[in-house]
Amino acid sequence: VAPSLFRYALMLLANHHEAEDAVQQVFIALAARGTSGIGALDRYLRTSVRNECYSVLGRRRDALARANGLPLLETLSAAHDRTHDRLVLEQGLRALPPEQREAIHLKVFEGYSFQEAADLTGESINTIASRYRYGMEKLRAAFGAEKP
Amino acid sequence: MMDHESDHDFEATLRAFRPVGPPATMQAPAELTRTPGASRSRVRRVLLRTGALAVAVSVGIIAWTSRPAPDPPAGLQPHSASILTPGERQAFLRQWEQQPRVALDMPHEGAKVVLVEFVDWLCRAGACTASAGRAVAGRYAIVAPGAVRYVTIDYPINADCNPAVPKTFPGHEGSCVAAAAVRIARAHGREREMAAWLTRHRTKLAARAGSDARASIKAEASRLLGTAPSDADYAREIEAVRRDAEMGRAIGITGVPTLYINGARTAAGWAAEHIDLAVELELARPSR
Repeated sequence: VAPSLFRYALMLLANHHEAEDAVQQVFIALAARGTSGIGALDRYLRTSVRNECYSVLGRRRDALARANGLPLLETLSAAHDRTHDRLVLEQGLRALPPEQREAIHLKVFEGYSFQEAADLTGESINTIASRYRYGMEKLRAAFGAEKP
Repeated sequence: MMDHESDHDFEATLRAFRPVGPPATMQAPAELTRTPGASRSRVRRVLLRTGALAVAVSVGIIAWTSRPAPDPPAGLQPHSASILTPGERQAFLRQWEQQPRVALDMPHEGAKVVLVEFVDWLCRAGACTASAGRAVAGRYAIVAPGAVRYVTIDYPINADCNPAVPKTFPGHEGSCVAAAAVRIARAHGREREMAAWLTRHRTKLAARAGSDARASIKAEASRLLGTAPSDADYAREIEAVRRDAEMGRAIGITGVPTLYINGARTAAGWAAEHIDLAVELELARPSR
C-alpha cells in the first residue's frame, strides 16, 4: 500500500521529494494516533495523503509542478523501448493542474470508476469526469504534437 | 509512436506506464547502519518512519485485500500490462492461493519472502531485459527492509553447462562463462557490477562468435576483479552452474527468467502489479 500511496502523491505533486515527505507525514501521524476508530484504513490513508498533498500544493508559490529531474512514470512492459513516449507524457502530465492529474491517475492508473474517484475525493462525479476529460485532451494534444 | 484517435486508445497508451514507486530516499537501513556518526534524534526519526511504514504496510494490506471489488472500468483488458482493477485483484488473490508450491531449499536469512529467479545472464528477449524479481525486491527493500530476499539460480540456455538444454541457443554461446563470471565476482563482492556489465553488453556479446564472447566476458571479469581468475576457477564455477541447472530441470523450468515467490511459480507475462500483489500476500501470511 505504501508504494501505491506514494504513486498517488507523486501524481498529485509531480515531485518526488514532496511526495515522499507527504506519505511519510501521513504514516508518522498514523503511528502516533493508532488505527482505532478508523473504519476503512485504505481509504483513510488515501484521503490523508490527498489532504497532505493539497496542503503542500497550497504552500507552493508557482502553480506548475516543480520538476526535480526524476521520472514520473515507469514502463510496465520491458518489451519495447518507450522512453520517448514516457518523456512526452511526463512533460504533459507536469503541465496539467494537479486536480486533472489526480483524476487521470485514479481513472487510468488505479482503475477507479468516476463514481469511486468522486467518493474518494469528495468531489461530484461531474467534476471528476470533467477534470479527467480536460486533462486527457491536453495530454493527448501534447502527445500528438510530438508525433513524427 | 502510435496513433491516438480516441480516449480509449490513448488510455491504453497511458496504461503502458505507471507512476514510479518510492525513491531510494525512503529507505532507512543505510542511515541506521551509520549510527555512530548520526545524531540520536536523527536515528529516532528514521526508526519512527521505518516503524510507521512497516505498521502501515501491514495493516494496509488487510484493508486493501478486503476492499470491495466493483466492476472493472470499461475498456480495460484483463491481461493488459496495467494496474489491476479491484476485480482483477480479487480474482488474482483466489488464483494465488491455489498455486502449487515447490521446495527450493533456499536460506531465508530472516526474510519472510524469498524470490528465486532462474536466469541466463545473456538472455536478450524482451521479458529478460528487466528482472522482475530484482525490481520487486528493490521496491520492498524500501518499504519493508529485510522482508524480501532475492536469489538468482543459473539456468543458461547452453548445452555445455545445462543438461536440460539439448542444443545451445544462438546468442547464448557465452552464457556458461557469463554465469561463472558472475559467481566469481560474487565471491569478491562485485556481482552487481559484473551482472550490470553483462546486461549492458549482452546484445553485442550475443552477436559475436562464442569464443570471442567468452573471451570478452573473462577479460571484463579480470578487469573488474583486478586479477584474472584461472581456468580452474571457471571450471569449478561452471560445475556449480550445472548443479543449478539440474535443479531447474528437476522442477520443470522451461524458460528464463522464471520467478518463484516462496516456492510458487509466477507466469511469464505477468505485469509487475501481479508480482507486487503476490509478494504482498506472502508478506501478509502468518509467520512460519
